[in-house]
Amino acid sequence: MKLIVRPMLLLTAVVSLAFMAPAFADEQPEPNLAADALQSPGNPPVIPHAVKADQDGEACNACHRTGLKKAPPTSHPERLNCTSCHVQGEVKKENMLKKSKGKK
Amino acid sequence: MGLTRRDFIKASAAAAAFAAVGVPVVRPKGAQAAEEGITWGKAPCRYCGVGCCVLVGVKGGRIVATKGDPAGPVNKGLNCIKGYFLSKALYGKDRLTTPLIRKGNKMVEASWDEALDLIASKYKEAIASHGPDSVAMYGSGQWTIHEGYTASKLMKGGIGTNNLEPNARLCMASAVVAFMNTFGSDEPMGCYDDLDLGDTYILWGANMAEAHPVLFSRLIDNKLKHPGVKLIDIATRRTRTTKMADEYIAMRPQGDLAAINAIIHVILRDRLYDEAFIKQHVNFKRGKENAPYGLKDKEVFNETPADIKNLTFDEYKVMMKQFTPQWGEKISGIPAKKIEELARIYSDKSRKINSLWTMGVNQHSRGVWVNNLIYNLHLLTGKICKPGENPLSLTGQPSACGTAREVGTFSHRLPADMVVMNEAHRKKAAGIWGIDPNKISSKVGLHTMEMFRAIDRSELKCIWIQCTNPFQSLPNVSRLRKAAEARKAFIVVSDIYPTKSTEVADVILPSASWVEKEGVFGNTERRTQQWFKMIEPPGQAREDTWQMIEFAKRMGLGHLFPYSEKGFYKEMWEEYRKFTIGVGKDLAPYEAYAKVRGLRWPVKPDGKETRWRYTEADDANVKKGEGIKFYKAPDNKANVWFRPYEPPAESPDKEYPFWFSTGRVLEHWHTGTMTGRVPELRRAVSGATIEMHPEDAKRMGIKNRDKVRVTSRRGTIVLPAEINGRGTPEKGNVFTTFFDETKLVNELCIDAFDPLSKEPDFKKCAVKVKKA
Repeated sequence: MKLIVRPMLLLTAVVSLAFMAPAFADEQPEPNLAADALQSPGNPPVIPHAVKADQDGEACNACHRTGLKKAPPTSHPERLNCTSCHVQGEVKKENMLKKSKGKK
Repeated sequence: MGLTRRDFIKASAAAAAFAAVGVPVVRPKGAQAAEEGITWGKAPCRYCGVGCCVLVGVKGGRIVATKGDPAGPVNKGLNCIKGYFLSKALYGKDRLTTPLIRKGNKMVEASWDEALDLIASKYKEAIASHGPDSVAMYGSGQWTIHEGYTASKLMKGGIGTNNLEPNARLCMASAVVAFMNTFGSDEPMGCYDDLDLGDTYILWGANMAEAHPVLFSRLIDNKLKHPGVKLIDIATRRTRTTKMADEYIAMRPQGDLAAINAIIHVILRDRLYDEAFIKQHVNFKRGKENAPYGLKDKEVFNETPADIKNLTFDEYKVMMKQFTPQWGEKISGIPAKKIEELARIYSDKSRKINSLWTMGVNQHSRGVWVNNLIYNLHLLTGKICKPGENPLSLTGQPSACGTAREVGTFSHRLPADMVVMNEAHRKKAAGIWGIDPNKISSKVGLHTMEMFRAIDRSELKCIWIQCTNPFQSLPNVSRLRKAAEARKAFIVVSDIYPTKSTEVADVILPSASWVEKEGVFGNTERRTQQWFKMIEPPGQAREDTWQMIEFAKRMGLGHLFPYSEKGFYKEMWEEYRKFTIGVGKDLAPYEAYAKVRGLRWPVKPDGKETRWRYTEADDANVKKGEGIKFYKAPDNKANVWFRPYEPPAESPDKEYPFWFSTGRVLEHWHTGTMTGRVPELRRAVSGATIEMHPEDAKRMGIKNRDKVRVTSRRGTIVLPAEINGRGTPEKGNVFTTFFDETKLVNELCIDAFDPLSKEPDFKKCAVKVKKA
């Protein structure tokens, strides 16, 4: 019986550590915020080219998934609500989409 | 019945699947060095009700970075664009740094003593000649819990008036009333985990992609990982949310009342309901109908127990027979076939259904009714109080829940679901506050709309506004601005920047904001989050609690705030916490919050949080074997309300042929006083536009960016047209945003409000549109 209980307890402990709300807040260690900050990628870059008002994520990914046309490839192509984090910044001339040249 | 503890653990594991942004972060070389010398603190975001966890980096007394907190369970490292530029909201060039007193048309610098002495003398004078109900305080869902608690104790326990209101009256009041009259306790049974765990999400008039972007990302994550997840957007305007939805259903304004009644009709007609759940957990009631719209001053409308009729399930079924899908189609514009389909989706036993809504439902002349009707859908089908299956009203302010609702800074409320009309409640509050119970007035104070109208009627002599901008945000705002400009009342405004409200103030007080002070916010999912002071406020700016307590001392009420300087936050917290213990709203001791990224109440005796209320699987107040128990309701049962269709206060006609609606945009928040000072956000969206349907625009010869004059019965305004832009309203509708202080769009809005919640309807009035 004990043999089963112990791994079960361990499993429960792991599960609660990973997924459950922090238990026994008094016994919580002080959080290491500096370490957490290092894990955060920081601010998303602004968009240096024109964006349509109704732009959708698939259109962004057309270039940013792979880095087509020298676009910086995204680390998170699965996030499609691009403009919730990336906004239009100043438009740099060299970054204008060269549609007219029709380069494929 | 209900959910076993094993299911619960399984669900918990799945909930953790919402991962941090993209792939694991690989730090470029040197990044660590760049971050040397930075001290990191944690705080909830300053802006909306989502309550994203943010890491704040401070160096040399200044915030040098804000990051999405990877350990934050709300957002797992993700922020929206406003959150990324958070610190810039504090560093605008025109921060208020010294008290200012009006001398004629000029505002003159003054000392804190001069300003506070003046305020106290004005309040004393008004109280002496007109009684305590001639003064008021108007606060905010952006107040910290300590600020709201100080205000409540000061006004209700000290001055002896219930003329205390939060701006949350304009956004959450309808949700509050419906939570109270349906479940007997405010705030949701579910939480954000439902966004990860459900498979069907029905949005009632909510543009989540812009107004709650991080929660929307959680939803989209769930959808990408689970292809079966369905997102249905029911709205009057196509938005960014629509783009990501599986289905968009166009609805006429006010159509929600008819559509939901028709959906319920089908559920009853085809016996799609959960009979066992209904038998065990539901009462049927009918309230007062033919309600007014609050357009007349001093209009009184209440739904007293004498007005409420108990129904049997059979009686209810008979009453619902009139609301056929064909009838629903006629009023809502949603095809009868679609209504039948929605009834089947809502009652599909194999689907986990969530309803999500925000201002479309709450800012509604029958907002409480629509909230009631959405709960009816979940109660009749038994789809409630289960992981991944709940209705959820999304809030708009960082502590609308924590402060306005939990502390109870409304004119009828006391902390923890108590009300001033109830003698036992007043006694309990007085006991904790250490005052004579007779000091707390049993008379409900002025609600927001009446409070500002009372200035125009010269009945309210003094008002102190903190942390909000009513002279931009209230509907029919010109009437109120004229009254203020005529100096009909003595107006004090505490804020961090000059606003449309400081413009009309007699005294302006410079406030500390966000991490310039210590504080606690409570978000939409009952999560209470604490932060410490990290930087000094600029100049002489002081926090709102200090301002109020210094004023209290001058009013002879200093004894109400006996906290030590060092233990101030903890001591006040522990006092406030007494209200919450043992009533199903339990908060944790203050220290507990310092170490974690928030806890969702009720916090259990062992210190753990509660994710789903009213279910034995997670709520310590429900005993084993009880399954689901609505233990805050009188007989442990929730109410299904009969709520018919009633028209809006104003509808388009020949002279004013368009529906007019106002709302939000991703980049700006509320009246733009903070986001308007962030260059990146200003550049992204610089001002208000009027969105139109392309066919309407074409018919009227209006092209994109053409200047257009929009006129209602209350005002007129010129805006550039936006066609095929970010959002497209349905034909016959126009839409604009309210953040732009150079365009007071709320002059156009009708000051009609919900008769039960007194929350105004910013989403419906009639306008005409002409090329300017």
